[in-house]
Amino acid sequence: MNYFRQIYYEMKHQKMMTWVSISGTALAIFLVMAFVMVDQINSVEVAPESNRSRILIASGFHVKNQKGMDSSTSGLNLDIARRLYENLEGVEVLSYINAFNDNCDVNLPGQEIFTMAPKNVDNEFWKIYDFTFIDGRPFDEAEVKSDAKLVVLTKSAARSLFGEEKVAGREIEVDAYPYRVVGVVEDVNPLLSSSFANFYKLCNIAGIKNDDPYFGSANVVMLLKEGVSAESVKTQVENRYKMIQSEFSKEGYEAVYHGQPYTSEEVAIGGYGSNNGPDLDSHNVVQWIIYSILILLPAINLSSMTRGRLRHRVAEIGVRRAFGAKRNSIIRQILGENLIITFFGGMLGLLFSIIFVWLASNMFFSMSGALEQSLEVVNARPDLGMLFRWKNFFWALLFCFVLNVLSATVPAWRASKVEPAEALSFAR
Amino acid sequence: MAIITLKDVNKVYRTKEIETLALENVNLKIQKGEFVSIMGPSGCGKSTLLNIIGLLDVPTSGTITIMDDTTGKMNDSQLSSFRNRNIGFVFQSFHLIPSLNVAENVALPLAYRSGVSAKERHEKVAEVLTRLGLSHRMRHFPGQLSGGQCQRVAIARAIIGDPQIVLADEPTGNLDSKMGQEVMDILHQLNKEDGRTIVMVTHNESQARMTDRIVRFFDGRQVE
Repeated sequence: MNYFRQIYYEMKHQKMMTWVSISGTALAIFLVMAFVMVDQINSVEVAPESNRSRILIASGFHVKNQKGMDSSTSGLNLDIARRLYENLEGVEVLSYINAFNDNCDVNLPGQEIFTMAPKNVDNEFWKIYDFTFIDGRPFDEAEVKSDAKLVVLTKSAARSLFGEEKVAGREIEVDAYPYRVVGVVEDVNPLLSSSFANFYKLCNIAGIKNDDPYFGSANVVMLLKEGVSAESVKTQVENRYKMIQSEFSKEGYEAVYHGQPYTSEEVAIGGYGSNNGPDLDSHNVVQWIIYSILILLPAINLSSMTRGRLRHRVAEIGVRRAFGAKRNSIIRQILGENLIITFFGGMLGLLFSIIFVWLASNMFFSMSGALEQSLEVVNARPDLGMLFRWKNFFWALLFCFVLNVLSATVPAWRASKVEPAEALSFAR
Repeated sequence: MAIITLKDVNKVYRTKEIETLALENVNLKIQKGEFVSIMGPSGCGKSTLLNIIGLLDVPTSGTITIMDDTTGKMNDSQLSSFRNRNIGFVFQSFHLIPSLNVAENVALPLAYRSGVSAKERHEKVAEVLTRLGLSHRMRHFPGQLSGGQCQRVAIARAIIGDPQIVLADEPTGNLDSKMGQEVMDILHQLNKEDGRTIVMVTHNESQARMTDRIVRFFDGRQVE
């Protein structure tokens, strides 16, 4: 009862302790939410990656000498990619992307040259990612088969080159070769690494000459049907690995399966392209250890603050007990009041964490050297919409609740255990 | 008919170094509707006795029977409920909760009683505060009241739950003589008009003489 008035009273009469409690809570929630936000950027679903939870990516292929002498990982050979990933059950769309996306010189004939990050994609790519077309359209199947020299520009690339956005049908030069613009899309945040580019170049990966029997430049992106689990697709792929293994064995090699194709979270935590696959479970354990430490340490300090605040209220607790408050009522009262303080501090912490992660994003989100040269990355920051998610709000609430329980339960329990007569004598 | 019976009550406070006998073999009966004063020098065990009668403290040995209920076997929760329904407290230093306004302070015992709606609570608060001449102070906070007004609020809080027993620990100790007399008049009124049993600890001989009976203590023993 009257929790808010009690807090207001404490803010007025125990200013320092109350504000230190609020600040301590804000700091704890700030730290833990900064970690949560940085981590969840890898799974946040925003356009054009609104279907992130249904997108799987396969890029690397690990081949090991059976004598254990040699081991290499590189991009996929198109033939291997097809054998491993085509016609899998539960896959709605499958797209091949050329893994080699070195920055290009892009310009209008005879005009200023811009360094831009391309993505070499086919017609299926546009069905996986929900780009917003400002002008024109994506590539079609016939254009991919004919290996036409076509591009889709992002809005900022179109503005840099043409000074306007409605430029479908116009000509540009990419590394001195002429290309036709077929569409213009809204810019993509550079943190959405599997869809980001300054422009999208039509790529018929089947047309790329490749003599290596195992490795190549193919990346595979697939969109799963609604309700299909990544695990079911992975199991199918694992079986296909086993099937091709007999051919590899004849050559004295082993195709090592590392859990491909990867989810966006797995891609984000790394291991991608190395001789080891990403270990999401270990990553999650580490994350939870970090969260626990970030909550536990301040909880211990806040617990002392709560005890300090309660020391001024021993007589009040005695009065409440004298007039019939049971021990659990006292505990509820203290936890309820503390939860308001924790919630208030927690929301401040959440706000600070959003601002901090947004302002200091360069510290958290590393860009490849190539991307750093491209048009947009200079100003690369997560959109505020990527940081302020309802999911984050509920995480913050949950952490507040845990912090409250950890920091106030023991002081509340101890306060409730004081005999009423002893509590009343405190103020005599 | 005895409403409060103490039989062979002893209270010993123990620390690592010493034992202090606060009450020694107290046998006391207080009749229903009686106004009893407890007197004695400081440290003689008056407040300890009042705490034990009010079930705020437990005796080291002996039994306490209140309204035919032997309280020794009650658990903490039962003791809380029993206090809530049957005993009201008035303290020397008022013990009003500073963050709550007058109405909320007075309503406190009803807040811990199940089955009392907010409407009933508000009505009862208004009724009790009107009776004690404080209806215009409902929204004020304790810090905005005089000592006499604070003690009247404390009395309102003690009686709002309609307890049969009111325990007052030096209720006029922090008040000047005029305000003290006002408080005593109210306590007598509660005793005569409502028939409540009142047990009051006091140092004031003249106030004690106006009550039905004086029980005197010295060094933890009942001497009269």
